[in-house]
Amino acid sequence: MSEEKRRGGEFPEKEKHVSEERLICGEFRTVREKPGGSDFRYMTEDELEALIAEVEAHGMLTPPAYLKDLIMEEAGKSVKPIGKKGISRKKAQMQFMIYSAKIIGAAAVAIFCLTMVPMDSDRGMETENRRREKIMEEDMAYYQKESERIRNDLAGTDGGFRSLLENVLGEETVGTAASVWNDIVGWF
Amino acid sequence: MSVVQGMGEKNGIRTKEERLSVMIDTYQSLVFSVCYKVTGDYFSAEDLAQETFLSAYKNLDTFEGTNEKAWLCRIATNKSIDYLRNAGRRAVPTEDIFFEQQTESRGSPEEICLEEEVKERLLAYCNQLKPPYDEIARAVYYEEKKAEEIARERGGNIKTVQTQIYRARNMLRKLYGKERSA
Repeated sequence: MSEEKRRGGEFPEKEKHVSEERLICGEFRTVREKPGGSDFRYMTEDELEALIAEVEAHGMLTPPAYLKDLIMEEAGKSVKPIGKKGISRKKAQMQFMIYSAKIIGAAAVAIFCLTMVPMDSDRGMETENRRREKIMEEDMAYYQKESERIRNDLAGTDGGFRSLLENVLGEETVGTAASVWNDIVGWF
Repeated sequence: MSVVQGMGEKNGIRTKEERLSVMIDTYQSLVFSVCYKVTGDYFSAEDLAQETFLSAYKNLDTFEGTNEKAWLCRIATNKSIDYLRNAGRRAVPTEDIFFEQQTESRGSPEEICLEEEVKERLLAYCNQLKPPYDEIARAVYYEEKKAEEIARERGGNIKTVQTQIYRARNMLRKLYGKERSA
């Protein structure tokens, strides 16, 4: 039995009262417990039958023409397709569940990767430092090599050029100039 | 087997929508009249009749009774009573008061032609609306025309007419509510 039907059988004492009252008054009183009262109760089966009979006897109202269309439209909304694809509500719910499961799975995998998979975070920095050290070592080696070459070049030219200078300028002056020159080269 | 099911199978009707459509065609006047009789409010009766059929539609599969008419009227009266129970609606006159008012003006209850009376009252409300809503409301509520017919007669777009009907209905509801509260 539906909910609507079950509700009809409430308040038996009041129903008796209303039925008696209806008989006394000789007319149908619908929802008020008594004249002037403000309590409303559901009708009994007898009262409902009497109401239907009375409505049918005294002429029925024609509802607005749009009422049927409105009802059909509203009824259709509960089962009508959602969106352009024409998916039913149940199917849409299923798709939503699958989509949610996918998102949850992806999030779980991401969390697992972030927390459980071991990662050497300093490794990148070590490589970078090593690269820089290597460059510095190469630069130093190149500098030393070049310094050596210049010194050798100077030493190689000493035999002829230095003796000539010593003859012209004096041994002491050339020695001082050579030490100054070596200092300058050394400084660079 | 229920009456609805029986009727459906007999006529080769299978879908719920079709069963609902048949039910509306058969009982809409009765359900609407019952709602109106209980509430005494034309526009509330309209809403309640709509709710009644929607509720019946939802419970159509579980309906095991034999008297479809009584079932629908039971839903309609219960919904109407629920409506009256709601706060702020206690001042709405019940049908006995409504009929008392009618009886005073029209004689014995047997002489009352409810439809005529209601239509006259609606016409008065329709005439209070501003153009073009007065004409639209008259066509819908007094002449009982459908939106398609009105659109055809006026040579307008059906969507425009539907919007105008919707607005006219809201205006009438406001007018009706104001008058009742006054």
